[in-house]
This record gives sequence, C-alpha cells and structure tokens, in this order.
Amino acid sequence: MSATAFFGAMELGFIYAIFTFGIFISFRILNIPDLTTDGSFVLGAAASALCVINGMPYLGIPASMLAGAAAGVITALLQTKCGIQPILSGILTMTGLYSINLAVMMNRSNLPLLQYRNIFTPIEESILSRPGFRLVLLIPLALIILLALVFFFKTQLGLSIRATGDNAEMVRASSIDTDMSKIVGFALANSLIGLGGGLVAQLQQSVDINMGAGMVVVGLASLIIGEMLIRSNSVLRGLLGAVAGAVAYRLIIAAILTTNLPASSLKLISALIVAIAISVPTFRKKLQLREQIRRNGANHA
Amino acid sequence: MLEIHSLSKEFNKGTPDAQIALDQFAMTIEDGEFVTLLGGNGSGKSTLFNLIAGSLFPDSGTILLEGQDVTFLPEHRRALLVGRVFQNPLTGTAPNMTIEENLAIAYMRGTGRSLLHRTTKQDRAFFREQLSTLGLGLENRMNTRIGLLSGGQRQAITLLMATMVKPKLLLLDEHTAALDPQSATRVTELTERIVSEGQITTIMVTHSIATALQTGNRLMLLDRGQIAMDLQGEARRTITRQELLDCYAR
Repeated sequence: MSATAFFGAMELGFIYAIFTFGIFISFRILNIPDLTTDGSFVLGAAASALCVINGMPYLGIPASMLAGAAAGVITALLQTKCGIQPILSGILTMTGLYSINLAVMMNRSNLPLLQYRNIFTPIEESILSRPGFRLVLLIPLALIILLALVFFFKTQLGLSIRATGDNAEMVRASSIDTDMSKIVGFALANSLIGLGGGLVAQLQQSVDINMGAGMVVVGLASLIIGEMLIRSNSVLRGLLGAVAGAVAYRLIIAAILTTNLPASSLKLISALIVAIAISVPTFRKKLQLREQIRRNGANHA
Repeated sequence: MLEIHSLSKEFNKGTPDAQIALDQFAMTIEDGEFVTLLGGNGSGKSTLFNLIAGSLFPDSGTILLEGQDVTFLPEHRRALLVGRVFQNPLTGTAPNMTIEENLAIAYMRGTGRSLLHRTTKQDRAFFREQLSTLGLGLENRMNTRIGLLSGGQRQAITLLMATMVKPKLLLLDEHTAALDPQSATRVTELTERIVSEGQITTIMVTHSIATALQTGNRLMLLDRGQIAMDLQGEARRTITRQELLDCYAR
C-alpha cells in the first residue's frame, strides 16, 4: 500500500471514527437499531457543502451536526410520541430525508466542491502539505469529541440515556423520562453521524445524494471490528473501540483496493464483515456443543 | 398519607373478555403504616399497585398522595414520590452500569440537580455509607457492574435505591419471592429495618402468610377487587395463621 493510500485511509478512518461514535450511541448505548443514519449522513454532508459553497467552511461543522441532530429528533419523536417501531421510524426518516437532501443540494444529485476553500485548505497551504496532513485537524477533533462524550455519559442526563438502553423496565420505575432520554440520545447520535458526513464532504470535496447508502452497515462493521480489538465494558472503551474499528475498517478497505477486486465490491464486503462478525459467537457455541456431545458419547462408550 | 377513592378499573372493556379488576375501591393508609397485602391471583393486587405507581390509569376514581392528586401523573413523575421494588431482581437495576452509577440514577430523584451534574466526592461518600448499611461488603465494589452480582445482592441494592431518597410511599411487589430462602430472609430483615428507621409508609404484596404475619403493622386481604379483611392494632397482633387461612378459603 502506498503512503498516499495509507494516509488517505487514516484520514477517512478518523472521520469515520466520529461517525461510528454516533452508531455506538444508538446501537450500543440506547440499544436501538437506528436506520436514520443513511439519511442523516448525507444531510450533514449537504449542509456542510452549502457552508463551503458560501465561503464559510468552519460553519459546516456545527451546521452538519445540527442538521443530523434534527433528523435524529424526528426519528425519536416517531418512535416515542407516535408509537412507530424503532426500525420503521428510522426507515421513514431516511426515506423522507432523500427528498430533503436533494432540496438542500439545490436539486442536484452531485455537488462538486473542488473550487472552494474548505477547513483543510489552510493546513494544505502551509508547510504541512504532505500525505496525511488532514490528520493534524482530524485526530484532535476526534479526541475532543471522545472526551466530551466520556464526560457527558457520566452526567445525570448521560446516565439516564445509558440506563434507558440498559434496562427499560428499571427506568420506567425511576424518575427518568425515557422519551426525553431517547430524543436526546438520537439527536446526539445523529449529530455525530451528520458531522461525519460533513467532514467527508469537505475531505472528498464533493457530495453525492447516494453517498449515505449502506452507511449503517459500514458503521456497524467498524463498531464490531473495534469490539474485537478492544473489549468494551465501559463507554470509554466502547468509544476507543469505535476509533480503532473505524481506522481498521478503512485500512482493510484500502488494502482491498490495492488488489484486483473492483471498488464496487466494497459494500458487499462490508455486509459480509458484519454478517460474519455477528454470527461467529453463534457458530462457536454450536461447535462447542457438538464437541461436548461427542466427548460425552466417547465417555459412555 | 395515601387516600384512594372509588377507584375502578376494567380490562378489555366492552368485549366478551371484559374483566373488572377493581370496582369502587377505597382505602386510606396513614403515614408510617407498613401494610402487608395478601390476596390470591386475580384479586386485583397487581392492578392496584400499577394504578398507584402510574403504570396504569384508572377508569374512574382518585388517588391522593399526601393530599396531592396523582391519579393521572405520568409514571416517571410519580417515581419522584413512589419507590418501587419488583419481584424480579433483574428489573430494578441496570446490569451493564456500575453500582455507583445505579445509585447515582436513584439519587437523581428529587435532588433537583442540573442534568449535567456529575457524581461528586460527597455523593460517592454518601453512596458508600448507604451501601455499608446493607452489610454485604458492596461499599468496596462501587465500580463493579451490577450484572455480576447475585439476585439477592441486586434486590438489596434495588431496595436501597428505592429508599435512599425517602419516598412518600414504598411499594414492594413480592420482592423476595424470586430469592433463595437465605437471601429472602436477609432482604426481608433489611426491608423491616429500612422501613422502620425511615418511618416510610409502605405497602408490601406477598403470597407468604408467614411473612404477612411477621412483618408490618397492618394486614389486608384483597379478594375480587375488594378488601376482604383489614386488620390493625390488637386484631392484627392476635390473628393466627389458621384464622388467616380460613379467610383465604372463604
């Protein structure tokens, strides 16, 4: 793998780490599969692109977060106040977002941003312009968000959100408003997913209406790889796992791209990673049981 | 003081499966009373508990807690006033969170702190002191995930969580029924101590006549949504197991 490819993967990896924090919050902390992701990722990217086009690339960071958070709130409201099943709520928001994303992108399916300045331009223009220069910005950003999340999940609100995902029955008998926990949790998760999209837009200097397709699976793949690397039993370790998993995922993809496999096979590979990683424990259990039965049989013979 | 006036609840109303759980039910429980509530399956105990705790809402009637009408107060708001311990020891605690974090959640009740408050050193010292009263050595395991504890330990912590901030009413729903005999005895002793030390108004549902006779200072028997027996003072002290069993059979 060339240095350019390696550092390119690292840069994307740290952006995907922030995105994977969002997946971690919905899938692991709230324990709810959130399919808003595919839509909120693009919404964040589109919002970020608008800021870039209007010459305010830094505004793209809060704008993509706010846009993502708004999408998360919609999904949470559908779930809590309208009684729609979690998965369907996410699908509904994601579907509706397709039209909204197109509108934000001024009804164009692709927005090239090459000719505009973005948050990485100042570093690029300085002496730091060499492969991986964007990491100077991305690693501290991911680290700050990680620390902020670790802090947040120790506050009363953070504990309430964690308890809501951990034991809904307990929470119902406590003074925690579970609807509120879910709304805040989904807003937070999707704000990070939106930010991921916004950063990708500025890094790749383009936004495509279909760039969100399959992002849930990509996030899950990163999360699961991370959990294999760092066993998660706390928020801190979970988030560190998300970073490790996201970077590893991008490196795996970069490695695959150096082979003869076509780039179009990436989605299939992501899906396979998730399917295999989730099914491994089940198969392991079955094998153990079979082994045990075999040994028992041998003892009786 | 808990006052319940003409409380009615019917399930599957207007269908052939309609079932009246409570009909014009009334009762008053004074401050500091510890009521043991007996009754067969389908006698309306669970419905009554769910209505008091806010998991269900009645068709008619009112529930007053210290004069405040809580009949339709949402469950999580009512949890500020009512502490609750369930039969299943897995219900009351969050397994993947530590002992300290679970206590912090319980401590949120009525402390009126900001949402961004984090557990302070003083809080931690208070939790430690509270845990030590359980006599289970858990004060030295504050960072242990609750899911690693036994059912008895978890139920003891749940009880602590329900009473750490003194509730206006404590509801115990057969909270020792799923424990082994030793743990059940320990949790029962603990319950009696916490309730009497805190002078907490308590209703305890139990299926054990022995427990109903040993604990509390008032005994009620529920039957088909009505109070079939209500014993206090002298009558409560002198009733025998056999007399109680005879009442059940009627």
